[in-house]
Amino acid sequence: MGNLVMCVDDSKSMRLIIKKTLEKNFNLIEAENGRDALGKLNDLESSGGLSVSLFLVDVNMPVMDGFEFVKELRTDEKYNTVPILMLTSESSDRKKLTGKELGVSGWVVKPFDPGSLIKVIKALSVG
Amino acid sequence: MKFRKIFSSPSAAGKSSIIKDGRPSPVQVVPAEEIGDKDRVNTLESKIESLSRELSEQRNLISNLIYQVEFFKVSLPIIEKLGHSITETTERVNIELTENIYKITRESEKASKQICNLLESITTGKSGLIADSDKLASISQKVTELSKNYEKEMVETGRETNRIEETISKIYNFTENITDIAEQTSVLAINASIEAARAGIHGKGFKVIAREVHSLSSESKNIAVNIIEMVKELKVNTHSYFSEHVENLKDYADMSNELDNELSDVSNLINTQARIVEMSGKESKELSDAVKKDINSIAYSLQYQDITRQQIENIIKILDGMMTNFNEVLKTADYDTQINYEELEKKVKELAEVRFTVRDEYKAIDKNINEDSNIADRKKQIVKEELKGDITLF
Repeated sequence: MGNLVMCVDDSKSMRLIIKKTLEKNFNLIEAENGRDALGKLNDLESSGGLSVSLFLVDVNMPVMDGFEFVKELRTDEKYNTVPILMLTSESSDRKKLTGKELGVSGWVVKPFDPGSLIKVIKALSVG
Repeated sequence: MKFRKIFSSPSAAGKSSIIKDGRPSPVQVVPAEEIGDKDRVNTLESKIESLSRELSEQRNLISNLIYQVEFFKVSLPIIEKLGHSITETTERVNIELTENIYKITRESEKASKQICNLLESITTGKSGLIADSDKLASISQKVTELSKNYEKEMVETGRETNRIEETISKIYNFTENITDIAEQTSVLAINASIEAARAGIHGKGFKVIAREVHSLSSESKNIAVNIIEMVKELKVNTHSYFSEHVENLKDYADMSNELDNELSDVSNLINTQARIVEMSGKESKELSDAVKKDINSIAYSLQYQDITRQQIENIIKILDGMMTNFNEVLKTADYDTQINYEELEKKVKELAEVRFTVRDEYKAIDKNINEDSNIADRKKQIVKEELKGDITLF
């Protein structure tokens, strides 16, 4: 499995922190929301580049939120088994349950510990 | 604001209905047979007057509430602008902070690697301190061996000197014996000459032999005396030469020992320095690792900006929701507003301005706080390339 991670978050500063956290271990592709992410996935497929090995997805985003994006991903056979890690400030069990039902692989509540995030991504990418 | 009039204002005064829990009490029905029409009219008028007053109070209350809602409506865009200003500013600062912190960490890591490499090259490698120390140790070992050789040579020379002196003494003794024998031979030759003379003509040949023997013993004695002199001289010279040689060897050995000690000292010093350098390299790496560890906790803290942004956005959404609800309620209330929105907006901005201190807050009410500070602006313009930050000159 490759090491390309897609980060979908509307916060520029959060994307920067994620990028700085992961840049030594993974290649990162960024998107501002679900719609932007789908567009970038299409571009990636058209160019025949690396395929995404894990998604880091925020929940609350404009245009297309994290849950809608996950729904779209899981209906696409190319991505229906790719690990998805929700990275969000949402911590309610209700939202976590929604994520689990949609098929996400994990839920990381912000603020995250950089070392732990790397470990989780490595574990999910390998598995 | 103007409400539709439901009741006409009564002219009669002085009578009011009983008010309970803020509501007028129901109108009491008085039988016509007990009270005359006039009284009935009076009672009704009184009730109407009371109800009208209550209505007026309620109308004022509603009017005031609607005014407050309108006030809130006018304030909401300012609150939203403030919210966006906070999130935009904190995000911008957060991005700058994140970039700078990671840059510092990267530079620190780079510097640490360079220091480690430099220190490693100083301590290890062909021309490193440890190699130099090893070379010195090797030289010192050779010098030690040399010193030992000198000492050994010195002992050997001393021993050899003794042997030579012993030999010389023996030669001296032998030579002295030869002298004695020569002297005895000479005495013997003299006695033989005497005996030959006494024998007369028969001792003539023997007399010649005795003379030759005497002559031979004299020569032997002379030779022996010469040998003794030479041996004496040889003994003195040998002693002098070997003593000097031993002294030289002793000096060489001492010098070698001294050099060996100095080399050992230098080698130890280099070893100590190498250990210090190694320790410095280790410390530098530990420092870099500590910085890397710290960056993780900083990255953790930096994320609170995003959480704060979401919280502010949620507050704005709640306020928007409240606004929508108010609008819905006001739509169904069927009222005409006579609020002067320009004045209301001005009032809201004035109220806000009393509280505001930061430039971005003034932007939220479309006010430039520097519009009357031309002088300060000019001064600022002059020194703006030298000063950084928000500085006002007076």
